[in-house]
Amino acid sequence: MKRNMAIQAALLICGIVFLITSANISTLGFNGDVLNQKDYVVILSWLLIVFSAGGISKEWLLQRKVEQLEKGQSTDEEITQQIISKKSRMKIFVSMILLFVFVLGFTYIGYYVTSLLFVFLLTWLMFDWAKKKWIVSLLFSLGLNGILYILFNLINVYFPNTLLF
Amino acid sequence: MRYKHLFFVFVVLAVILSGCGSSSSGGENGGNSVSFPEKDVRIVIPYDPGGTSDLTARAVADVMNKEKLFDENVTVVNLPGANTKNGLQEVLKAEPDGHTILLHHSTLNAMNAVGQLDISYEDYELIGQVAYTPNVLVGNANSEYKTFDDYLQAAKENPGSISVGVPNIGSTAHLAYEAIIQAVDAEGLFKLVPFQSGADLITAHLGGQVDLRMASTPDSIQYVESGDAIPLVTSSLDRHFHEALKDAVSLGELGMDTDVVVRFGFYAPKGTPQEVLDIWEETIEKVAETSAFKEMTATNGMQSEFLNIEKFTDINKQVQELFDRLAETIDLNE
Amino acid sequence: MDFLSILSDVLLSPTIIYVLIGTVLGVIFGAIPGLTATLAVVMLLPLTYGMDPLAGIATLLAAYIGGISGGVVAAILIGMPGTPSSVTTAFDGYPLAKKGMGTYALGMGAMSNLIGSLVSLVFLIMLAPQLAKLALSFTPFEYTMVMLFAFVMVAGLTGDFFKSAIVTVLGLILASWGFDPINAADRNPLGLEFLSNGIPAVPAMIGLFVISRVFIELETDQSTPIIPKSKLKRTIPTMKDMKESASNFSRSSLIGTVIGILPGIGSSLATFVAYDRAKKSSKEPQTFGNGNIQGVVASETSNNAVIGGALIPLLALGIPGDGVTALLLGGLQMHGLQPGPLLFTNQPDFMTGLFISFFISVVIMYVFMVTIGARIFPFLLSAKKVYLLPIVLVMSIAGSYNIGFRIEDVWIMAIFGVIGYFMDKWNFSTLPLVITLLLGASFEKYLRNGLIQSGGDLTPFFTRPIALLFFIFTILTIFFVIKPKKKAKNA
Repeated sequence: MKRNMAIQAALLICGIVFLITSANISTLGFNGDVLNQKDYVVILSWLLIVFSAGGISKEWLLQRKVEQLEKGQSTDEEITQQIISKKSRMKIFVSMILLFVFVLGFTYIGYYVTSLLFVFLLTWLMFDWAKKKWIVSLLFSLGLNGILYILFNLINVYFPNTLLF
Repeated sequence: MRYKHLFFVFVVLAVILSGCGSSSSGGENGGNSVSFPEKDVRIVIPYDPGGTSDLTARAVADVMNKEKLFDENVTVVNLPGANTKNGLQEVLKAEPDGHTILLHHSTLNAMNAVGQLDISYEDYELIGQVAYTPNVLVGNANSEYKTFDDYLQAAKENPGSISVGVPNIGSTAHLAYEAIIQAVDAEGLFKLVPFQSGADLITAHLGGQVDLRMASTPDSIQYVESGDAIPLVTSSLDRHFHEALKDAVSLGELGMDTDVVVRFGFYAPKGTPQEVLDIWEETIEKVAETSAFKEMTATNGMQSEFLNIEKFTDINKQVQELFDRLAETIDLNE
Repeated sequence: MDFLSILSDVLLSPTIIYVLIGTVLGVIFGAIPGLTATLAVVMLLPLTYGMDPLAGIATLLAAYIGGISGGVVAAILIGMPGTPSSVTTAFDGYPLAKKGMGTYALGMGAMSNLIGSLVSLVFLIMLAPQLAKLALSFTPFEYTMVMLFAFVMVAGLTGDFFKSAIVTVLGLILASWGFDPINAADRNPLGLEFLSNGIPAVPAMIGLFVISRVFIELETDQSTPIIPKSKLKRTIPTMKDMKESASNFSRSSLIGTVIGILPGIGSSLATFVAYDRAKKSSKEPQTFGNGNIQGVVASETSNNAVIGGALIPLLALGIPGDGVTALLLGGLQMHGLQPGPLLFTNQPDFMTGLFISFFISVVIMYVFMVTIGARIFPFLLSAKKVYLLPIVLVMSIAGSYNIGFRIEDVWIMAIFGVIGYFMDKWNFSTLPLVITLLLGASFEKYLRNGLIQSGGDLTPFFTRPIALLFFIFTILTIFFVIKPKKKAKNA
């Protein structure tokens, strides 16, 4: 409940931000243009604000109704929320970070080098950092990247020009 | 214990890295004679594959590779995006050694004139023109009006009743249309409807949404030959070089002394040495003379025409002045 | 030249080899999540420059057919659509695979690909010039209403309508970033350099449907494969299956062909509409999304039917409908062939050769998918998550970069992967985001163009017959979405 409201509130804020930043849009354009590029965005921003405000009030009314009916009983939505263990949450968070680091790496350092590191770390992560598994992860990473190197060169897949290869 | 494993990883990496070194070629070149080119040459075009710029660039590259006009390989690189800015910036900031060149056309002048682009032809070193293609104003075959005069009459009697479509605000076609309007003093008589691509415009015209459209030559020939469209005005000074479009009145006949054709030329980054520019200039002159290139232009509604650095610069100046003037009269609200 | 000699020409020349390679390559690209059908065509394009016209275009077409067909594989077997056109296939295909019916679903999917392609080919051969006129009767007014209908329909398709409506608006705002379609003005509220060109739909979709699924799969045990081994080994559908799906096949093929004919709308919308229609015509609509094979059938039939449909305006009018047809247009022009009203009359041999190659490619695709494909793909995709997930991630990065050689695309993919994950966690449907990213710019273009043409008058949007028709559809959709909700509330 609270979380849903928080999300709607975040969207509302987004709508306001978009409305404010739309003032930066230049209206330089062709004269017969009825709905110019700035007005279009303004209309959409207002729609977002109105809808998310509506969403917030809906959630609030729902919450009130639930509190009136049954005190402290969890609603359907909360029940269906899966209980994900803290360990998995960490894993997902770390893998997201790894992914972004990979994109950075492949932009400046090189696809294969970064990929080697990335696959190794990700595989080891999925083995829950088991000490014995690091060699398997390393071998898998080497093997995969070896195959990819041959494959990509064969079918002309290109990567940005970077420091290393 | 840990460090041993890390060391192993680094050794493996080092082995792989050394085994796959990139092939470097050529060194610094001191002295008088310029050795150019020293490595792969790239012709950048700011558009997606498949358009006329792409075809022209590839034709040039093909001829250069086949006839070995350069010792190194010439490739075409598509860098679309950011409304041509991506490709333009790439060459603007490239090493001024002649290995990265831009193929572009009069749209550069047009977009700059209407304020869509900060970059102008003066930010580059010009190399020369290889081909040009006029724009053609076409009307629907099943309309009651058959010549440009007819349409002009109708527009004078009923301003705003005749609509004209152009493929893009700030395109050469758009400004060619404005040039025609200025030539016959018809400001405000026609209704301008901008579209976002040649394809959209063709669809709209065939479907009757607009009465006239400002088309490129390739986009007119086949519709004229199939009987769907009638050519009315061509933006070249003389009558159009293509058979099917010979009946169109030319800009020259309407009283203009500059034409508004799409001129395909090569641009190099500022600071490229004159010797390198000269080599390029000579090379594209040779390309423009080859029958292979002439065939390509003929099939695609272009005319192969070489203009050297001087002439290309002059014509750019003329065209830019004209476009700047036209842009002032166009209604562009701020 | 008569038909038989053209046929023998194609069969006995290198063209057939190219078509074979193109199709198989396409299927493989389509099957691997992160690599798309468009990518397959883009990669083959430079290689076709040196070929003769028919061989070159036939190869590109074969890769496209293979690519769109191949998307079904990963959509079913690991829940990650291999191409944007197979997004809806995963809705029912993946649950089926989880129940051990993966091979069965693949078999039906391949058959759907076959039928969809062939039906649209028939339309292409028989009625191209006439159907092309249909494309012409769609003006900005009609397109605006069609897209409005599309947005509303997709919002009502899955999940909470109200939440989806919010996502739709958000998506339209995201789609407005970059350069505005009419005046090319800069719209970049966040001011970030890599967003200066807007948000390209394909990398975003790879993020939303592939990357986010990888994160979701990380929630559960990774030492197992994503799906259990398939129980049923049969890959050719039974007569019973065929009979039950007959109406779905025909309806979805028609939807795909018609939407393909309208330039600019695209295969994803075709799959959403076909899926929606199949669900509404079914006797058990609630099973859709949980493993009803008709969902797979609708999705795969329609996305293949779009191929033939999209060729109609391309060949008959010279108007490309999407990215791939634009590439084909370029390819044709490069070989000196000018698509348009005269192509059918001036180049009958080329056209016949092209149709033959299309047919051969479809057959090769089907045979490949049910013989080799149905054995190898499940085997490959049954690798343990520990190994499979990293492979998917690296392929996706390589794939997104190679669409246009822009780093921004890869960033978009990664960011939308995270966004997709959280949207799933917070119960927001990603489909409205997808449809708005795909069609948002076109919607704005047509809306504003329409207003320019009518001089600010809103009436044509509601009075032109086809536009009015779609407006009515939109109202009906909203009505039907809200009505069952009221029923459920009162019950």
